Amino acid sequence: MAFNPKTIAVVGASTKPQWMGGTTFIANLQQLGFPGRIYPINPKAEGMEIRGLKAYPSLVSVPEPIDLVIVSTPAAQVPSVLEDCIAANARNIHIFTAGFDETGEEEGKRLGAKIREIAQRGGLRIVGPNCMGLHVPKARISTLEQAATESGPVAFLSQSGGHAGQFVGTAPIHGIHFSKVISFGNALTLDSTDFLEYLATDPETKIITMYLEGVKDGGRLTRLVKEINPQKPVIIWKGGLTESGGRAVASHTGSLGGTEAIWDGFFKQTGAVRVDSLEELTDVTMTFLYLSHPPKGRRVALMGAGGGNSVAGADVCSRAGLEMPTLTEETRKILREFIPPEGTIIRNPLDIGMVLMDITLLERALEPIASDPLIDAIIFALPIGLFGMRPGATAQAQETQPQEDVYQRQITILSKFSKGSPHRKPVVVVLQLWRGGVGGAAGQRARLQAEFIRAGIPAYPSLERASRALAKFIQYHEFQGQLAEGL
Amino acid sequence: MPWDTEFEAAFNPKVIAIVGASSSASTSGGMWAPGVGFITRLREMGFTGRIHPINPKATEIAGLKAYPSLASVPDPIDLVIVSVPAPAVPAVLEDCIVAGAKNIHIFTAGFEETGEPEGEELGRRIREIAHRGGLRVVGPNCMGLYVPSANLAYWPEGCTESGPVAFLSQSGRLAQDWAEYAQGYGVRFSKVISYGNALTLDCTDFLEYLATDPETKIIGMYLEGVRDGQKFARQVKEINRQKPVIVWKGGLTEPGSRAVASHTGALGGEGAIWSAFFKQTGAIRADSLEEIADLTMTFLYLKPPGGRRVALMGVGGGISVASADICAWEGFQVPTLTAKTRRELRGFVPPAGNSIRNPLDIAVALLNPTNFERTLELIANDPLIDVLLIGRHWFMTRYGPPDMHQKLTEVLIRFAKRNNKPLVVALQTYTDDPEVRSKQTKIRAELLGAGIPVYDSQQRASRALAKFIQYHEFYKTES
Repeated sequence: MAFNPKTIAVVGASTKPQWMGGTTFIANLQQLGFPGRIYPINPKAEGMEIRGLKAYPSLVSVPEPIDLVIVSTPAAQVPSVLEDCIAANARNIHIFTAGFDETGEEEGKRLGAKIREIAQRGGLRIVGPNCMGLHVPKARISTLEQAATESGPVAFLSQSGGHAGQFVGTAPIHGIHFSKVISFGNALTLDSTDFLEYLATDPETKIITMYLEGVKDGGRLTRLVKEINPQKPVIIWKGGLTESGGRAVASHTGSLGGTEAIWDGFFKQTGAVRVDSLEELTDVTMTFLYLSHPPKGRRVALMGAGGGNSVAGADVCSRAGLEMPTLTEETRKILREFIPPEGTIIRNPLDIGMVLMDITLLERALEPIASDPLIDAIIFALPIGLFGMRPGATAQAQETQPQEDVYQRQITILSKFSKGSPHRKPVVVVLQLWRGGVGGAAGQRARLQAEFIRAGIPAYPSLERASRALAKFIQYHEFQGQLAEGL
Repeated sequence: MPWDTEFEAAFNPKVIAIVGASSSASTSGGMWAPGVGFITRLREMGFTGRIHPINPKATEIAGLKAYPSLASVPDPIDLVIVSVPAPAVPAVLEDCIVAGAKNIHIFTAGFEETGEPEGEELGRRIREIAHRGGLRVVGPNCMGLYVPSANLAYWPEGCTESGPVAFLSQSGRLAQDWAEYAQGYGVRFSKVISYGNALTLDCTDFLEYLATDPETKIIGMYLEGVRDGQKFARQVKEINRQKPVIVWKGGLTEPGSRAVASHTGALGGEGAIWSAFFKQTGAIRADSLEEIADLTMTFLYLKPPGGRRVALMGVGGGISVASADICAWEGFQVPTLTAKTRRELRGFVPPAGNSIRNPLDIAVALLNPTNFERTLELIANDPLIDVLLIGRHWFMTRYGPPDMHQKLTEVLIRFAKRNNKPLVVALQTYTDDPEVRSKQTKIRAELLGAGIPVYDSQQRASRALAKFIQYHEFYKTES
C-alpha cells in the first residue's frame, strides 16, 4: 500500500518557502502527476492552504484512511507525530527528518530511542528516518525533484538519499529505469532485509541494486541474497568498508558497518555482485540489463584506434580480469584480405582506426572476429573527437571529420549484429573522449551513448569502466554456473 | 649519443626541410597524407624560419619553392621531417648524409613494429644508415617535436603558450592528446617529444637533454620500452629530486606487452622490474593519461602537505562515506576533528542532517558563503589536518541552488590566498549533460587560475594527492 498509495499526508508542510522538506515534497508529487489525494498537515492549519491544498491540523483530523505519511518536522516533534499516526491508524510512514542516533549526540540518541519505542508499540512500518523515502514512477510518487516518470525492472535500496537522488537522476541516460527506489536512511524499523523480502516476489523487479551502510541481521541478509541472486541479480555497493568510511557511516546513518573481511565473505558466499562506486553501480546494472546472453568466458577482442591506446587498452582489460588472446591465424588472414597493413595492427587489441570509421569494412570485420573460437566477447572502442570534430577545426581536419551519419550507421550495424549474429557473442561499446572532450565532444558522447543504449548495446564512457563491468557480469555467471554444477 | 649544440638546433630550428610533401596530397587523405599538412601546421603555429619542401617532381608546393633533394637545398638544414612511404626512407637518409643534415624526424611507420619480414628488413637498413651517418633520428613512427616557444608543432591548433612541463612519448596519439588535454589542466609545455620506435635516440638521450634544460621543471613520460634500463634508472634517480619524473609505462600486463611489440616493437620488460624501478628511483608512477594530467597539475600547483591526514568536506551522507572509503584506500587518514574545532563548528551548524566530525557533511556551509568561509578557516587551522579536499559534487548537476557555486568559488579563491594548508577541489559529475559540463569547465578554469588544483572526481583527487605526498615522503625518508 505504501508503494501504491491513494492518499498521502505530508506533516511539516508550511506556507513558507523551503529548500527541501514537506512543501517541496508536495510540489514534487504534484509535478509528477500523483493521481491520489494529498493532505498537508500543519498545527496552525486553520484556514490554511498549501500549494492549493486544504491543510489539516493533525493526522487524526484527515477525513479518510491515510496510505502513506511523510514526516518532515524538526526532530523534536517527530515523537508526537508518530503518536498522531497511531491515533489515526496510519501505519506506513516515511520520516525525512534527520537528527537522531546518527548525530552521535545525547539529544539525538534520546529522540532515536523514543521514536523506536513508539514505532514498536504502534506497529508502525517506518522508512527512515533521515532519508528520501520512496520513488515509484509507476505510482507517480517521489520526493525527488524532477524525477523520471518512466518505469523499468530495476529496484534500488539505498541508505543514502543523496545516492538515491544521483542514481535516479543519471540512470535514464544509461537506459536504466526503476520499479521501486527506497531510500531508508537509519532503518529504524524497516531494514534492507524487509525491503528485499518484498522485492524478491515483486513481479516488476528483475534486478536489485543496493547501497548499504550496515545491516541489522547479517545472517538474514546473506540467506535472502543467496536465494534471490540466481533469479534476480543483486548488485551491492557497501559504503564504509574502510575504518575511516566506517566512522563516516556512524555519523551518517548510525549503522554498524562490519569489517571489509566480513563483507568479502558475504560476497564470496552469496555470489552477489560487488561494486565500489555509483559509476560502477550504473555500469554493472546497465550490463545486466542489456547483455541478454552471458559470454562463454573471459576472452575479449578489443577493436580500437591508436597504438599507445591499444597498449593501454590491453593493460586495462587485463587488470580488470579479462583475457585478450591473439586472434587465430585464420581470422587474421581473413582480416588482412581487406584491411591495409599500414597504421593497423591485426592481433589483439586490433588497432584499426580506419576500419571503425569505414562502414563497409566494419561490417566485414565483425563476422570473422565473432566467429573466432578464441573470442567470447567484443569490445568496440570508438574515439569521440579523434578526427578533428572541434568547432573551428582547420579545413583539413574538417575534411576527415566523420559525418554524424557514420555513427548512426555504426549503431545500426552493431545493433543488427548483436541481435542477429549466430555466434551469440556480446558486443559492448566504449565511447572514449579524446582530448578530454574539448569543444562539445562530451555532449556528442552523451547523445551517442544514449543512442547506442536505446539500440540495445551497452555503452560506457571509458574502457576501464566497460572492462570492469563486463568482468563482473561474467563473474556472476561463472558463479551461477558453479552453483548449477554443484546441484 | 653525446649532446651538442647541433642537436639543440632541432628544438629551435631556423630551417626545416620536409621530405614527402606532394602537391596533390593536400586534398585526399587529409592528415594521413601529411607532407603538406606539416607545412600547414608550421604556418598555423607562426613558425618564423624557412621551410623547404623536397619533391623531385614539383617546383612549388603550398606556395614554397620545392627542391629535388636535400643536397640541393642552399641553406644548412636544422631539421628534416620525413614522411615518404617506408620503402623510400633509406634513400632519404642517404640524402641526409650527403646534405650534412643530422637532425631527422621520421614520421613514416612500417618498420619493426609491423612484425612482418619486409618491415623488419627496412628497419635494419635505416638503423645501419643512421649509425653510419651519425644521424640523430627522432622516430620512426611518431609525431616528432612540439616546442611552443619555437612555434614548432605538427598537429592542428597546437597551443602557442610555453610552460615548465616536458613530455616524452612513444605514442604520437597520446602526445597529441595530452598536449591538447593539458590546456584544461593549466599545464603548458616546454617540449613534447613523440619518438615512436626510438631507432637511434631513446628516452635516455632526451632525458639527458631535459635534465639541464632550464625551461623544464617537471618531466612526464609515456614509455613502452627502454633500451638501456640501467642508464635510465640512474638518470631518473638523479633527476627526480629536482625535476619530478612522472612515468606511465604502457604494457605492464602480458596482453599489454604483446600490444607494445606490435606498436613500437619495444621490449617491454617484466612488471616486477618496473615495480623495482619505481621503488628505487622514487619516480611517480601513472597508469593512464588522466593520471598523467592529474599528477602534473598537482606537482605544478600544490605545495606539499605535512602528512596524510585529510579533511573531507562535501554534502551528503552517502557521499561522505564514499569519500572516506576512497581516501582510506589511497592511504590517507581521515581523523575526527579536534574537540575545539567541532565546538566552534557547532556554534553555527545544527546537529540534524549535518556531520561535523570528518568527513564534514554540512549543508548550511555550502548554502551560505559566510558559513563556508568560516568552516574552511576552522578546518585549515585544525592541528590534526594536513590537507583539505573540498567536494563540490553537489553542484555538478542541473539543479541545486542557483548561482551558489559562483559565490562559493569566490570564497575558495579568497581563502586560498591567505591559507597555508594545501587545498584541492573535486568537481565530481555523473553526467555528460552539456550544461553541467560547461559549468564544471568554468569553475575549473577559475579555480585553476587562482592556483587551486581541480580534479574530476574524489577518486582522482585522492590518488594524485597520495602520489604527490609519496614523492615528498621518499626524499624525507632518504635524508
